[in-house]
Amino acid sequence: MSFVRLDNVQKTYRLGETLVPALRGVTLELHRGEFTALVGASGSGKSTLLNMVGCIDEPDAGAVLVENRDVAHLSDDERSRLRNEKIGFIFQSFNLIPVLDVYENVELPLLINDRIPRAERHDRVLQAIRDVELADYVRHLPDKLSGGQRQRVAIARALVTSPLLILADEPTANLDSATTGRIIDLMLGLNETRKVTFFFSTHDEKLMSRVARIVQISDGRITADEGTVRRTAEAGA
Amino acid sequence: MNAWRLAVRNLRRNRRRNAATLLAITLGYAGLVLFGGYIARIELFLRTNTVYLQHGGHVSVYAEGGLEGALARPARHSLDPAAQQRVLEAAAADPRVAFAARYMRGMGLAGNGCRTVPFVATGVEPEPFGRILRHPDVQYVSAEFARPVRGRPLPDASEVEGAVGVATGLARLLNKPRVHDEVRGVPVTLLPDCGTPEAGEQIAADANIQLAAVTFGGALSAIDGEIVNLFQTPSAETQDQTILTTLGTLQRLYETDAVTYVGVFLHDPGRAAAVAGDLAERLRAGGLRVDVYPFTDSRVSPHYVGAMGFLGSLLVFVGTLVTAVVILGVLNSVTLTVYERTREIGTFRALGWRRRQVAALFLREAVLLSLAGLVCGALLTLVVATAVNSANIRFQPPGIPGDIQLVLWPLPGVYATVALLLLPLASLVTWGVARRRVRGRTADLLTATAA
Repeated sequence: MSFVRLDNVQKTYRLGETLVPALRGVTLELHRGEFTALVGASGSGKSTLLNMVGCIDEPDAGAVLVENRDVAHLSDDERSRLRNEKIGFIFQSFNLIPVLDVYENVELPLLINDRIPRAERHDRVLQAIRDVELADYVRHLPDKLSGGQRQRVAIARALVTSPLLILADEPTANLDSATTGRIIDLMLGLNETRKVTFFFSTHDEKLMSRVARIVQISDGRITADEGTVRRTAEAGA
Repeated sequence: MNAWRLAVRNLRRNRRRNAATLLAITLGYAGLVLFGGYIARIELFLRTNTVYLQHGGHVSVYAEGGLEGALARPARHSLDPAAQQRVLEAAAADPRVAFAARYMRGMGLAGNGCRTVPFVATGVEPEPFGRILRHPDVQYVSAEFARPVRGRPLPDASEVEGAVGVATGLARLLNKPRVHDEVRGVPVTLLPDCGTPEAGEQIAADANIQLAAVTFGGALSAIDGEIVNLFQTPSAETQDQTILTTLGTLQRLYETDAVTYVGVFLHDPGRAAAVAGDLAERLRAGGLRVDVYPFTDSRVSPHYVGAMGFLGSLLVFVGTLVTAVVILGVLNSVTLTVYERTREIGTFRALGWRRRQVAALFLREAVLLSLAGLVCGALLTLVVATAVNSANIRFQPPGIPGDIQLVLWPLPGVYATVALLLLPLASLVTWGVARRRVRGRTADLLTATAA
């Protein structure tokens, strides 16, 4: 069963007087535990597709279903809750809050969840920080961390709510090659050990070579979905 | 970590801008509280003069038509002894009343043997007048006007036959600079030859004046008066004509046992209108035809009501301007802050924070900044008020003879009122700006550059 399904999703942006189609009827399914890369040229619609999957944008036509629920039928508060509990985000430029230290940045998604007791919140934050191997940097502010460390903080922040899906928009774009390797290892490790579903856009060949499924998008259309073919083949065998 | 700590941290981000906003709130708050305190001080001064030193009372009870007609047709528009008694009894029965006193107002001519000058006299009962002079408000804000310039207060001169207090302007016109205690033993000069050079000295040598008036019955009457004090009236307009004497002396001059009005003095000035209404109802129900006025009625206190109307308008005008400047400062600061942190807003939204939770982050910052501004403003107010009050700066308010000390008197009520005005306005402005921004599409917020 798919965790997220997009049915013929279309999205057009207006740039001044010009209408720019970003997605032209995208149909896609993401399954639990998948490690999926989204590849495509700049302007091909990768970010728009990630935004649709992450419920931070709405399609002009078609439907986005998360756990078989049409997101269009959810209120803004319900969508916020869905994102908070089921989806984690990792951004290309980390998007850490500069006045908060590592612990506090990771804690942010839990602060609005009243159902998690304080002690449990504390444990979960520390565990997420340990998972990304930043236990020695708990009280460091983001500007005292390297790019790779910042991205690991972002990953810990995405992980801390134990989401079913983590979306990452070019997570290694701002990192050097060695750091990229460590981030990929970390994401793959989390995918294997904690069965977290990853769906991320990338141009990184090194990253693409290590994923099970690659979805290719061009001009707002999915032009290839290799993992689906492979998994279908494996299922048939 | 909680949202308030996050707000404190965010306030440290752009220190210069937040310091400027803090300064605007501090100065605006201090300015409004000080100006409000100044108005409150002036209000108390004018009210004390109107109610106590001009003997209007918080509530005044006249015979029907007496306010307008008593001076011209006193016999028709005065309160006779029976009416006086009923008014005094009605006042005494009201627990809101501190005391009541009977007054007579009349006109006539004051003479020194060579020259006559028109006067307006008020006849007072010595005992209530003594209470008035000892009243804390009088001692606090109008001691200069309550204390005679020379001589003894009227209630302390009961042994002097025909004792009168004369306003300094009238005393100058009558060439009567001395008071009874200064000329004790000096024989009264009778009919000096007004054409001689010595006449002026002879007139000034004693404290005797002659008061002449038309009695209630229409006959001419005259009595001797002995000046026991010279005083300043609280109004420049009345300096050249005012005489204050005992009710008995004035009744003797007008050959009557009637009075012009009964002044009613309250524990709480704020209840004047209510007491006036109740007294009028009770007295009229008993068949007494009276007019009852609170001191806030412009017909009995035109100077007080006019001055307070003007000051009130000024307060609203200045208050609106200062508030607008402060709120525009907050608006400017918040708008810049919110737009600079648009991507951060998008991040919070992507992490699942609801719109109102994100807007509340900015609201907390505005509340903290405003509270800090209010605390600094309150401290600044105290410092400025203490400095000004210790400097003993004197000024002459319009229509007041002589000068009074400039006292800035910030009241707790003014502190609270201004704070309750500024804090919600600053919060409302912040909420509006933040709400508008967080309503944007999260995808757009995440890709926005600082405005």
